[in-house]
Amino acid sequence: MSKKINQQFACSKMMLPEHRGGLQQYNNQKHQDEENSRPHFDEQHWERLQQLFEEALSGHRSLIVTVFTKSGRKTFTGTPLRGDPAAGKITFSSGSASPRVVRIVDIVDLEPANPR
Amino acid sequence: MRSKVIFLADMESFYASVEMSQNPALRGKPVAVCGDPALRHGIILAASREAKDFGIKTGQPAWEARRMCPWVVFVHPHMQTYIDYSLRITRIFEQFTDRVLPYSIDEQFLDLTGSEKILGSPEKIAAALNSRVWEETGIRCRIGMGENLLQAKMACDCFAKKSREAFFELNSANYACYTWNLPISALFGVGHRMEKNFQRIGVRTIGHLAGLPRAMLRRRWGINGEVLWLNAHGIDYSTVEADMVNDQKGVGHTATLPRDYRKQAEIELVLLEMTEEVCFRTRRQGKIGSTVHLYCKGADFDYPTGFSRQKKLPEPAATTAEIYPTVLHLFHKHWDRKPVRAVGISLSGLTAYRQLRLPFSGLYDRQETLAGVVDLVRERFGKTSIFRANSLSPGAQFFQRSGKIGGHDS
Repeated sequence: MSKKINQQFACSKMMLPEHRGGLQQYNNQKHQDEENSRPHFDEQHWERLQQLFEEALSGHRSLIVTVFTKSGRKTFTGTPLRGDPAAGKITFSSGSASPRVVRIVDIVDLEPANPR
Repeated sequence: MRSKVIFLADMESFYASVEMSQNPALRGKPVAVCGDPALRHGIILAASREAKDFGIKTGQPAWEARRMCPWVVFVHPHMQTYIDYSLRITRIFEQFTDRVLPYSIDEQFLDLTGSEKILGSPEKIAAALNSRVWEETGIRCRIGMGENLLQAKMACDCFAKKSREAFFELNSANYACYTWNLPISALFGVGHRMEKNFQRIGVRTIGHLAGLPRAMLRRRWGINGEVLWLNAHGIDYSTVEADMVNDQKGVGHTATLPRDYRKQAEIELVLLEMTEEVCFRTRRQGKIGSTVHLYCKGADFDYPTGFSRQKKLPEPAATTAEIYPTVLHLFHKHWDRKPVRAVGISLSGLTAYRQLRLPFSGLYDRQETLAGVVDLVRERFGKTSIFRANSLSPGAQFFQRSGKIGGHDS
């Protein structure tokens, strides 16, 4: 379908370039702030992470782990070696010599490294 | 059950309201925001509610407004302040929904589908939005509601702006009942030219248009005809997507000249300066354009002259050296040698620079390097830090235009 039919308001939008620039700057700032602030997740999200972690731990599968750090979000690929619920930490082997220990509260997202 | 809850919030007399918010001494007075008549910008850009009571309207010349209300207070526009207020209002709306789409400086769409359970009925949400905007900015808004963006826009323009409640709902069930009796000019997307076309075939109301076959409108006016048919039926497939802000079709500038320009050299100089501005903004977005559009408006109001023509470039570009020859070609071909009052240049068909430009060394490599350096200097030290020597010649507009937003003081 033509863009005019699909998005007629996008085609007729009247915006000053300075306004458009201001909005882009605001959106970028908002995105940056979101990246730099600790997100709040609902229970469903935590359940999904729990399930992915357990599957990866039992099947020795790698995960793409996104963690929240002081300098924003960082991502690495690692295989979970063990979880310590009492200390609230997970140990990953991530290819480097020593295993990587991550606090559970810092985990923002988990994705299977090799989706089936 | 509504399929979607879309609001269009329109700020009442936006520029005038911002001026009153900034200077409370203006409250209750007939206020009109207008440019400098000495520079031929003496057109009313916005009028306060009190000024409108005297019959003052947007688009009217300042002298006519003065005749209608001798004690009207004229205020010069402050475009950057209006942009700042618009962004503040966007932030307020984002406290209600994350799906907000600014459509113009004083109109924003909000998708509130699914918010009723948390925020209450649409009427309640509209009242809350209105009072929050009023408390934080001193500006009132009128809200049109619909099941799509078109219905919300029509509800706002045709009903909410005219009602005491400043709120009106159109939906798929009542759309025909409320709108089909309205004149065809009230339909979103119908301008003066299209209105005349419709009058010629006997279409005077929105209902008349809705009664015509869709295929016939498509045959006669292409996609545009089909979209208007859909609008007449209240059908719209648009969505509130934040990405629409970044989805720019073209970059352009228009300017009303401070006096009528008669000499070819003077007009060409302004065209050169404006080409440079357009190219600078296009490059800043990391894009190149493929079609140049030139618009010239004649000076005589009684015998309107001028032209609006476009030409495709041999290859997409964004440097003055590549674009200006095409601008000149269009100008020489279509100018009737009559005095010119306003000019406009735009570059459309934008594409990402790296997507198309092949890295072969060619004729324009040095020009691109030069343009890149000029851009860097201007970004760091300001727009007027580096300029063409002929911008000091009589008739040049470079210094007058720099620091302005939309042709008005920032």
